[in-house]
Amino acid sequence: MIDENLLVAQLKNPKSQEQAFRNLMSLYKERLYWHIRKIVLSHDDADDVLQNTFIKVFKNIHSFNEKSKLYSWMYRIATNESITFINKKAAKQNVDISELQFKMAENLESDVYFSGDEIQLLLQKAIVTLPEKQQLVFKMKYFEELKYNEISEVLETSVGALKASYHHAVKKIETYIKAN
Amino acid sequence: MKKENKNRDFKLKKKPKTNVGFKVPLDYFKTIEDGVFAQLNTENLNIKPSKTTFTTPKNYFDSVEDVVFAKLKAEVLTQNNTNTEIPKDYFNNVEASIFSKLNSENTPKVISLKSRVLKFMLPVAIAASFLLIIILNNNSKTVTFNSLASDDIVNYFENDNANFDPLTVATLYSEDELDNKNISTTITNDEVVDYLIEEDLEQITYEN
Repeated sequence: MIDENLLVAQLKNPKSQEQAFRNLMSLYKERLYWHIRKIVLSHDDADDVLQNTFIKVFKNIHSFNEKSKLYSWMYRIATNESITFINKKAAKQNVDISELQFKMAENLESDVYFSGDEIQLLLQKAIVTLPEKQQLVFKMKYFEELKYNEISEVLETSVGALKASYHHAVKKIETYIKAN
Repeated sequence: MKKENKNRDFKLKKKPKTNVGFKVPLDYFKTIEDGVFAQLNTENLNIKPSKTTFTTPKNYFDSVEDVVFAKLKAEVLTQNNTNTEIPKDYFNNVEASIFSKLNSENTPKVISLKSRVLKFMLPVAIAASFLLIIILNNNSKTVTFNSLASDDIVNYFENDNANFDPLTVATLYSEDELDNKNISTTITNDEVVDYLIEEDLEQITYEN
């Protein structure tokens, strides 16, 4: 069990920073990767966002105020980086964000790092029809099986609101899948 | 004994206190239905992807730390390389600077007076000086070529004021004219002198 306070202190100390940062990456890289991957869908995009996330963590560790848990803070950065990445990509391609996300879901069919069947593809297409917040809540609850209070810390939203979001998201997805 | 049982019954009938030591999140009871129904509905979905649905390249996670460190170092190098920096507000001012350059190109060119004098005025000045010499040597007020007496011209040439070398004479004619003159080398000097004596010099001068 890693002592989070000690790790943060090592990260803030220039002498121990590099080794501490290696330890931090080694500890969270997979969890953060899968969190990002479920948002941006393709491996290449997830790889870019993961790197940017760690770079941002490294650069901003001095402003981490330790009010929240380190992993929640990192999840928050990863979530924001993923959303920013999608927004920038949409702007670059001069398309609407929802249009881009649908395209990203469709691209999974030819993605060598995706082996889901037809119903899995349908699920991804259903998710991208949701509003941004509902997408995030659904992915964190359904795929990552995070607890509401954990999601609450990351998204800075009350547990009650998260439950309502998740409920609406599930209903919409169910309707979409039945209709398609 | 009976009295004790009576007291216990009384205590149980009382409404239990909920706020002694235990707390629930804000609006917990208002949203509990959503949580339960969402859970029930997700069980109905039953299409959760397996661990092999989304995959990564082989050994991808082994190199993440090195890649991130390489990127961090590259960023530091880029930040230190000040040569590639663009001046502050460059892109805000670039249009104005281009237009000011274009406008300055439309203003007329300033030509040096010295070069203009040397190029055009000098030959005119020489010609004017030559005319002035003739005027001063001749007392008449208005001088034209026609008004010059033949004697004056003859005197001018006799006093060696006009030393024409062959090149100077040649420049008076264009190449075509010289070809058409049928200049013959068979004419002797004596023949030329005789010709000049016999012919009207004034007439020859006009022809030239």
